Order: sequence, then structure tokens, then C-alpha cells
Amino acid sequence: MSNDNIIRGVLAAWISDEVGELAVVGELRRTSAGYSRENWVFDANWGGVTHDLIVRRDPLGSVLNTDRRVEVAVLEALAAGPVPVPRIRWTDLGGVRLGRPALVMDLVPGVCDGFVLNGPRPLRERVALAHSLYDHLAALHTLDTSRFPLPAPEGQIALAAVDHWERELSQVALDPQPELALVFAWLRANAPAVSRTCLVHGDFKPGNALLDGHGWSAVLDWETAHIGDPHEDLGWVTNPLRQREHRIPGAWEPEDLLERWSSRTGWTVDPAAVHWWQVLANAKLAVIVATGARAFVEGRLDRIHQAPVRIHQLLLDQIGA
Amino acid sequence: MRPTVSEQLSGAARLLSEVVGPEIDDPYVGDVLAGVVTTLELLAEGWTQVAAFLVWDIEATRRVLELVGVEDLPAAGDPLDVAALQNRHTRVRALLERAMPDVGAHPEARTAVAALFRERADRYPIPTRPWRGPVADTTR
Repeated sequence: MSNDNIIRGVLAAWISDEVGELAVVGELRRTSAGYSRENWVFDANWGGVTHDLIVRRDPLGSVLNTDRRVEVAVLEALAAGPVPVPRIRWTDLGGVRLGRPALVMDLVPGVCDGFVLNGPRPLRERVALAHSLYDHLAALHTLDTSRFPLPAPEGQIALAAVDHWERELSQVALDPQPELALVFAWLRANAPAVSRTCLVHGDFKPGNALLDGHGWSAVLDWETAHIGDPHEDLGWVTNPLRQREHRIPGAWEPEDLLERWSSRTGWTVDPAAVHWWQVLANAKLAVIVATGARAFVEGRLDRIHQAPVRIHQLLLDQIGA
Repeated sequence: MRPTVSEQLSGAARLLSEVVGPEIDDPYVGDVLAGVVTTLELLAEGWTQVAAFLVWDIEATRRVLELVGVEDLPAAGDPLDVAALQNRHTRVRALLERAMPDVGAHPEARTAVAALFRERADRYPIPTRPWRGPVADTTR
């Protein structure tokens, strides 16, 4: 029996238990999107109605070690808006059904295109898409954090982030990383103070949103969400390494994004903090690459990761080394 | 030695891309195959420079470590024994990683290590390409 047929059978049994009647799973296929989760889209029929669904399962190996419970908690808290998110149907955090933690959600219509802002659509349309996407970022930042059952950050947020990613690196690196030791030392020496906390998405980008026609139908991939400094997301979305995803040259530059975010939130942007979080973003990306490299070498990931020398070069520039 | 290692690697990439690829309907498998083809192409382009790079990096790293008084450093050794070179390379990089606090506090070493990191990125033998991300997925 093929892997897809096994998954299909398990999903049919799972859904039948949940809805209390026989459910039949029809077409099912694994999607190529999603580097930190295994995703299958499928349709299931029960009660005479066909439902379009997606199941997300923790992989054996990934580029990112995250907690499924965080994603569920945030999605449930955001179900009432204002940021559009997929509706969770059922969760299996213990991994009883599919061997690893998994959740079933409604399949939201739309296309996942990480480079849509620099795609073939007319400039005016792309700028409008940028406005509406990053307005979602501003909206989630201004939500009352008490809505989210997430731990409050302890101590100095910026230094805690450095501790976290340095610890991750020590656990996953296949070989020594003196470049990152230099960068982490710079991050420690220059850590900004935090003026406010909010819900941070952690991986906000066009590729983590669904586009349905001319509008965004959902913001996805909340497994890295946490309570933190809004400058963390601002550094992530203005990171020069990711400019093909976030910028439209001459029409939607980082300063445009920050100005619009500031007007939407009513908060002032600290440029030094944005820069610091850009450096942290690239250190984090280097750790993510190291995580993927280890998972590949150990046979747990189907993608090959080369040493991130381009990220090292950019980091050296960013810290003035 | 024909076909050379480079010819075999790039030829294997061509076979996967032109013969196997068109037969694949599953977008996930197609995405994985594209990654394999890219890696074979990168290896075909860069593998001949790996030994020379390891020798250079070991010696350049040794010079930085000597500035902060680290001794008993492994030399590059036989440039034709790539496995041994790899081991010595890992050892000397681990010494540098541990010495970074001392390097950071030593002005000459700090300048030297930044220059080393920049040059090794330029010399890195397996070329990297900008990550373009997965293709648009209409059914995600």
C-alpha cells in the first residue's frame, strides 16, 4: 500500500471518529509548499457534503524545530479575526493518528506565491497587495496579547532570542561555525531594549499567505508565533536577504513599509532596533540552514542545504566586521 | 579519465532533469528532484576546488589562531588525502570557534578574522545560488 493510501485510510478513520459517521477521503496529494511541515490537501465526504481540507503533520526532519501547540493556540485565538487564518477542524497533538502531531484544517482557497510582489501583475496591483498584506502585520501587532495563551517573555527579550538561537545552533551544527560565534557576540553587545511587546508572527512573508484573486485569504504558518518585540517582525520583513519577497523596487521599499506600519499602529519605529533584528534574522536563517543540513545528512529531510556563505557575507557587512 | 567526475555529475543532472523529470506529476517529488539536480550541477562545477579550498582555509585559520596564542595547530598535511584534510579542517575551525572571545578582544586578530571570513566566503568551492523558494502552489 502506498504512503498516500495509508494516509488516506488514517484520515478517513480519524474524521469518521470526529463526525460520528462514515467519512470517505477522496483525492489526496502532498504539497510542495511548507519547509517545516508535511502538508497534504484532500477532500473528504460525510453527511453528503464534500469538504476541502488540509492536514499538517510534524516532519521527521525539518529546517525549524517548532511546537505544534503554539500554532493551534494562535489559530484558535485568531479565529475571530481580524487577521484571516485557516479554521482548525481537529487536532492530534499526541501523534496518535499519524504517528506525529498533526492537525486538520479547512483548505482556504488561494495561491501561495512567495514572490508575487515581484511577479507579472501590474505595479499598482502589486503595491496594493503589499499594503494589504503588511496591514495584516500591523493589525496582529496591535492585538491585545492577553488573547493568546502564550508564555510572556522573561528577562531581556533580545538577549533571550540570542540565547535561543545560539542554543539551537549548538544542537544542530554539523561542524564548527566561528562566523556565527562572531555574530552572536555582536548581537549580545548591541542588544536593544524593548519598549513594548506584542504577538510576533516570526516568519511573516508573502509565501506564508494565500492570495485569492486580488486579496489575501489567509495568513499561514503560525508555529513560530510568540509574544515579543514588534521590531522582530519588522527586521524579518525588511531583511535585505529577502528583498525579492518583500520589496518592490522603487515602489515599496523598507522605509515605505515601516512608515505605513507606524501610521497603522501609531507606534514609532526604532531604526537601530530594526537593524539589530535584521542581523538576528540572518543569524536565525543560518541556524535554520544548519538544521536542514543535519536533517538531510541524517536522512530525515528531502532537501539538500549548502553552507550559507552568502548569509555569512551579509552578516559581516551588517555587523561592520 | 573520461567521462570525468564533473562530466558524470552534470550528465546525471541532465538525465534526471530531461528523462526523469517530465515523468513526474507529483509537485512535491518534482520539487525534491529539482533540488537534487541543482546540487549535482553545483558539485560538478565546484568539486575540483574542494581540496585546494580546505588547504587554504586550514592555513589561513592557523594564522589567525597564532595571533591569539593558540598552539599545537594541525597543519594541512597531504593535500591529496581529502578525508584527512576534512578532519583537520574541522579541528582547526573548532579551535577558532572556541577562540572567538580572545579574537574579538585582540584588534589585529579581529581584523584578520573578518578578512578570513570574507575571503573564505569568496573562495567557497561549492557555488551557492539565491534561494528562490518553492514554486507557486495553487492547491496549498
